[in-house]
Amino acid sequence: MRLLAGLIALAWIVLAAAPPAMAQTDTAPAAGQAETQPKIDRRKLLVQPRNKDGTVAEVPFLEDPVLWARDRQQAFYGKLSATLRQMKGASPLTAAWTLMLLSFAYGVFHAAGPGHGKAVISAWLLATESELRRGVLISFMSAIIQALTAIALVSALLLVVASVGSTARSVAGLLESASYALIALMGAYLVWTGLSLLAPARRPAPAGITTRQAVALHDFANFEPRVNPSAGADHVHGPDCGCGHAHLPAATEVKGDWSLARAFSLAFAVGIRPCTGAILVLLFANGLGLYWAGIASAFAMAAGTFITVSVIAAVAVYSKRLAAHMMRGNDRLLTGFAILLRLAGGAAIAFLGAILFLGSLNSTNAMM
Amino acid sequence: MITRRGLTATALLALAAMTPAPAGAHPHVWVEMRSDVVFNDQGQITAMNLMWTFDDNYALMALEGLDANGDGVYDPTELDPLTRENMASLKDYEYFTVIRFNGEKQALGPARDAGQIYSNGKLQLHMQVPLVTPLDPTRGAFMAKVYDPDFFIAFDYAGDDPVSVLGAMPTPCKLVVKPVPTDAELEQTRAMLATKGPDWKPETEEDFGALFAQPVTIQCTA
Repeated sequence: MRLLAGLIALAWIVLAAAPPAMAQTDTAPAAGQAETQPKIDRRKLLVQPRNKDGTVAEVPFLEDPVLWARDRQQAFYGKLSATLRQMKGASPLTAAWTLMLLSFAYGVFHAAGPGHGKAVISAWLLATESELRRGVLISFMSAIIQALTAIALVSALLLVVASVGSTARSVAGLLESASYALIALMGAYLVWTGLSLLAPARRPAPAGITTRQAVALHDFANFEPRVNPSAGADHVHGPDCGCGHAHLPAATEVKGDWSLARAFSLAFAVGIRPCTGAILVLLFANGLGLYWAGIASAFAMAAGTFITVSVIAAVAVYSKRLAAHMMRGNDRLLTGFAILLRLAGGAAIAFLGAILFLGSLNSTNAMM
Repeated sequence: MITRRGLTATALLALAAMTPAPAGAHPHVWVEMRSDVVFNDQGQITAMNLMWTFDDNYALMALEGLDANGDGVYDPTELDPLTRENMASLKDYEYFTVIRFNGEKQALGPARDAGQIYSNGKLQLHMQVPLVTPLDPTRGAFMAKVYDPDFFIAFDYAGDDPVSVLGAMPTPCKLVVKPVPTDAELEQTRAMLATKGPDWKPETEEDFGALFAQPVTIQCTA
């Protein structure tokens, strides 16, 4: 891995150094004869030539890969920021609604996502019919708490950034930049978790860990082999299993003496870890300057998650046969697909965040 | 032959190229400029002379490898190829010069007498940008701005009397260069911009950059 990175860096240096080095060898024979024109490196030009329509003439990749990449980045950022501005400028309300709708759909489908449905149903199968109402209530509470946690976390982060940068001319610009930087970080984090999921034979939480989440995971791990002895090994919960559903209270915890305080503590334990989707949508909304829409979207996402989890729970409770059938699905393939999605999605998010971040740095610094 | 200095500069260039180079709206080249308003014998404005002195970083980068005969001096002839390529692309940007007469944007011809000089550690590009139609400043308001709307190049008038008159300016006329905007004026502009939508454009100017450029005017009291 390190070797590969080194090779890439080396290739980059060679590519980057090539044009000036070539220009140098070109000029050497020209010494003494004024007629021969040395080739001028395009990077030396004050401005790059333009096409008829006013766009900057593209540098061919082979002529200068570095300049080519710079041009691509510039063009890409231009389009992206124009789209963002349009979203915000055309109608903030439309942008807000779109964000909320997408978040809701994300919540619904993410909770039903591959790899997780089984664990959810496994847990609910243990729950008796009479306890469905309570389980649904706890799911609802944990979904809401999870949204609140994400909002509190992102708000606190942005507040810190704002107070640190209070001497800067434009706090809003700084916040925008920070949002995009954090989005890039989130993308990198997703890739990292995807990679660690790829590592096989990762043990479930070892005994001795006392967090609620670890206990819940432990319960799932113990339960699954009864149905399909090999399934437990395929299905590994990463450090962030997503929103609500993965941290669904284990059936053993739902049972027993019911008290509101106990329900609260359960929901809190489940919801205390904010979900990546909610954080992303909050950061993105802040970048757009529509933070309130981000907050609304976080709740919309929680609603979506809650609905799906409740439906799955109800199905599990009222039709154990159907649930058992669903459990036999080809989970290994789905898990692989989920990891692939996470890697690709994480990379795309990191890339977008980085582009937006670099671009926003430029635009906020211009006036300073 | 590759000199040690050349190697060092190449390595630095490679380093610079490796760091992400987000090309956006902040200056990459700084120019201290002087201009002449050129009059003909009939008292008409026919051209602008532009003299641009580049910042040291750009100069270092641009000059690298151009000392063709290796004598340690950058002769004007050695700089010619760079000048020619620069002028070719600057044409696409109308030499960053906007001339208005009674608010009407004036057509500019291809620049002439362009050349670069390297002396006292400073690289300077000079050229003359002609007006297609000569203008009589007693018959209308003449205004010239030199600026980069994208802020890729920061153009600033520098020194005392950065703008001069060449030729026969009619007697009732005088040259006025608007001073660099004060903080209060900039704040005013900022406040004005804050009330506008994201797609707002100045009505009397091409673009945003024009709001911050220093206009050169010829004012005649007759």
